[in-house]
Amino acid sequence: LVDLIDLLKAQDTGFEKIFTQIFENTKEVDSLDAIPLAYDGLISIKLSDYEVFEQRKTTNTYVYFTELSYDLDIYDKNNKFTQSINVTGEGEAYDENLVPTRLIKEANINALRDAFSSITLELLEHAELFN
Amino acid sequence: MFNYRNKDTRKKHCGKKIARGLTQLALLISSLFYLSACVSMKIEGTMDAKQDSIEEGKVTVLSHSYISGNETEKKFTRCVANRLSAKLPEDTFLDSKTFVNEMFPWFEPKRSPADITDLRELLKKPLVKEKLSSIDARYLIMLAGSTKDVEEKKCEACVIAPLLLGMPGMATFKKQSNYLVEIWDLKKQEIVADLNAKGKGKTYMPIIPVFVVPIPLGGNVQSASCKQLTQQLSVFFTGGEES
Repeated sequence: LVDLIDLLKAQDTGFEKIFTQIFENTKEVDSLDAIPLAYDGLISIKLSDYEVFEQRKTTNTYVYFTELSYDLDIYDKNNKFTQSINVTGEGEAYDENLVPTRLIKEANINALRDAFSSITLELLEHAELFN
Repeated sequence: MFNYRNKDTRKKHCGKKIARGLTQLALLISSLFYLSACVSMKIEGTMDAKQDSIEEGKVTVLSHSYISGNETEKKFTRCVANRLSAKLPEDTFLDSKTFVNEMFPWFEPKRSPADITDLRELLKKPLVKEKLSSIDARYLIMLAGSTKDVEEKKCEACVIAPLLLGMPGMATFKKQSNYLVEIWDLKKQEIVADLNAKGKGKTYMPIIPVFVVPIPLGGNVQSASCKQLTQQLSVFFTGGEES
């Protein structure tokens, strides 16, 4: 649970960075009721899968793998659904000097970076939809 | 461009290591080991003539992690980066973390260009060129390869007997390294140097009953590869004139 909370915190920071880099103005809303009156586009993001795997490397050491995926639904300025994108992220961590909790955290971060890189490229491609 | 085949780099790094063996039966016997560990290195490749100056841009060390399916050891990459940054003039080295973060997402492990053709393709994107220019990146040193155990003499008698009899014993490991290095010039969009460092070495592991954990002693092939490669890389960038 702690790992998932850490992951969600890192996820929020990451999304904020991506959106502010790509779009001129962004507003994060928790529900549809809070959507501003005028906007150029709307993107709904959902973490749809999160799994951590453990694999024995040697007698006392393990490799940790994280797999996660996000569903992004994109709407235009008329609130009309335009596209749905699914991106996955994979990350692994192995270091003889690190404890399992630290390794899981590192695998999570690597998976998040992987997913964020796909999301960034997808959004860069779709950015013109909102302009 | 000239062929680079420096036989002078084929050095033998032999050092004498001393291990003190202690036994524990009824009497305490101490003994001394003199260990002679050897690492042989060979570096071959091609290099453009010495660069006029690297003032035009910064140098970054990256590894081909994940891409080739054979992740270059982080320790080796760190070693080359640390040694090279110490040899280059101030402000001409850009650490890999900063480079990858600034270039996000194009140099993430799965997306990083695997070869010069991929790089040329990537550099067609105006946003990528703009970013590279903003961080003043000019040369990418791409590392690939690893150091592996090639032979392990598992002499049971060497391990068990010492523990049972309280006598010191010895086990040996052979290691082999093979690293490939390419220097990509981001402005010319071509490989300006490629080096191949191959090394062999033996590690001795004294089995000393007093100590529960055996301590490996002897030549470190990975470290020797790092040292030799960095030397050649610094010659390329500085012409042998260290900062």
